Amino acid sequence: MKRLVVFFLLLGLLVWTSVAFAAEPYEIAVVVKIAGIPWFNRMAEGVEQAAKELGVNAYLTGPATADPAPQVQMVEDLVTRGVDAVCVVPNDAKALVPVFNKARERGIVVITHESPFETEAIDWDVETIDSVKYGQQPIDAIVEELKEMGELDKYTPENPAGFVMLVGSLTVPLHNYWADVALEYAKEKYPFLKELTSRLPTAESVEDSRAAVLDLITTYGDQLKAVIGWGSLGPIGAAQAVAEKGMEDEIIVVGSAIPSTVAPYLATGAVDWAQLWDPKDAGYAMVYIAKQILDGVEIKEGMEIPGLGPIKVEGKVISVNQIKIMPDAETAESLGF
Amino acid sequence: MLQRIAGKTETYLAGVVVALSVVLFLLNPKFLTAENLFDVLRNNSFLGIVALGELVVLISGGIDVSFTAIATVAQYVMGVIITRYMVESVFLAFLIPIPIGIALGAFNAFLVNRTRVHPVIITISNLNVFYGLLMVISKGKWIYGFPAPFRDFARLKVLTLVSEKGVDYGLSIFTVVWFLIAFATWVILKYLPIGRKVYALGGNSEAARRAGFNIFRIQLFVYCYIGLLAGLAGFVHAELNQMIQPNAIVGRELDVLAAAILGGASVFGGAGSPLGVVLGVLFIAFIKNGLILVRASAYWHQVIMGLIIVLAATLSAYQQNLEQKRRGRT
Repeated sequence: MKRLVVFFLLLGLLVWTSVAFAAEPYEIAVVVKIAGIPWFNRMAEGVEQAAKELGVNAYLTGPATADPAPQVQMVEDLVTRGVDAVCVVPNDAKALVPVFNKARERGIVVITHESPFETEAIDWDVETIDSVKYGQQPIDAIVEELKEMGELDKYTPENPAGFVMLVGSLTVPLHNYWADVALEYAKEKYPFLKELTSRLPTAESVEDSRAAVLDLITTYGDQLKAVIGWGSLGPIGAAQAVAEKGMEDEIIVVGSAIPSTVAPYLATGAVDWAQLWDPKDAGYAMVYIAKQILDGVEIKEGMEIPGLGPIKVEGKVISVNQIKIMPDAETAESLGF
Repeated sequence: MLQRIAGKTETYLAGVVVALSVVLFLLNPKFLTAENLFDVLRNNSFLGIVALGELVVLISGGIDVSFTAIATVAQYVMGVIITRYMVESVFLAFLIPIPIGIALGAFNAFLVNRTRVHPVIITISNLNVFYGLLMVISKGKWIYGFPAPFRDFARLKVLTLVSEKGVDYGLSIFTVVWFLIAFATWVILKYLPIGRKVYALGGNSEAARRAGFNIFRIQLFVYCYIGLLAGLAGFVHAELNQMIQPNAIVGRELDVLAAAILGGASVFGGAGSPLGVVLGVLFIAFIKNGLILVRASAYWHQVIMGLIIVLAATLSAYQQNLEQKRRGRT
């Protein structure tokens, strides 16, 4: 009996010392806009993969609603707890500035994603797409479609092919940046394309996008040749409107869309072309970059993120170009999310 | 007396809607084409149906802001069942969301009656409870890829016309459902004893209590009624979008309240009519449709919708003043 007690005491001591002296893995928290939705669940897969491969304690968390205040609070708590790095997909990048400053004063690495314009208070911003290309490609896709329809020669600057853009809201920085890029690109390269009316803030809702596109068809008739949706529900709503009017062959619908959602619409031709990036890649890339910085590795152009290729560095923005293009339903389905 | 005030609001609003239509027609003649009007009516049937439920709650002196969550829960459960078991019968699918709506409405009524906390607080809390639980359980997953009969039903028309391009258009089944519910709501409020009691409770709750009305039964009726309509509207919304997204409806409470209040319902209870609410929905629908038709920049849309909500609130306060003057006299 006595010997048993001694044995357990010794065992306890052994366990205690091994815990105390083992090198503690870095704690890297990824805070997303809203926890539990499919987009960020997919991102969590990338974070978990990185945690396993890199031997760090990385996890994904986020507020219950996509509001700035609870997200700021959450980052605040993590900073107080003393994590090694916070990676944030901001709801409102400006609202996070004070807490980011506090984090960096304490030596915590701060990384953002989908926020290449607010880089004042952070270490790095990680993007998995080339935002300029992302803005230009839908315009090329429209021209390609016009070519396939044999209508390209029909349009001139005097008799232009009209298009309309749907954004999530007039204040979503990336959506509006892409829309600006697209507009400028079209003006320069394809003067026979013309924006019919200023961008409409409907692309976070299938319902609003559908209603808006029905109204646009009524208003512009044959002038309306193409719709670009920058939010992932824009093309879906537009496709429904186009299908309702039996105009799948006449109106071109392109834009951002989640592969599994858009596949059936690509199959019927209601959506002609779609693009997106994989949130899993973004989750992986953020944790990978955070680990490199904590290890003291210098971040420089051409450095390789496993599976995602060499990085480009512009100011504080690190990017790899991993735009997933979906020209048809099979390609969309093969992406697996 | 109540009817006379309500009557005035309706006549006034009908005049505004007609004037608005004329202006929009002059700016873009396509506004008054049957095709456009049928589209607008179909697209707003969700809003139209829940606004009628809100009307009944407002008349009783209560308010319900949880109906968006109720509609979402009801349509989500339906979506899970019909896609998992590939339910081929639209009629069976249609029967799923309604009892869910009624049950959640009853839960609201129970809390409102027992806790005596203001219904705004109760229903905001329940909005978060219903919606939050759904998000926890569903992980926000979208549902799409409905069975074929469910997709065909969305195109069902009661009256079919063919456009110059050879595409069908016409009076959607959902518009008909909306108008039938408006009619049923009118019959209930005007001719059934429970309808009179709803007005009585909202007009003066103390008097209703003293007259020996069973207040709980009236509250149970109004919250279950909006629950039922929210369930039905959830079905309509899923049909219209062919997709169920847990966060698509939540957040649209103000649109519905604005439509009901514009239509003459008072946030202080006792006033309002189904015809008024239908006109209120049409007014908002025409403005939204018209803004695109007259090629107004999107930056203006928000300003104008905001102004309409302010207008609705002002009208309601004005009505309240009239009401107080009337009470002062008698």
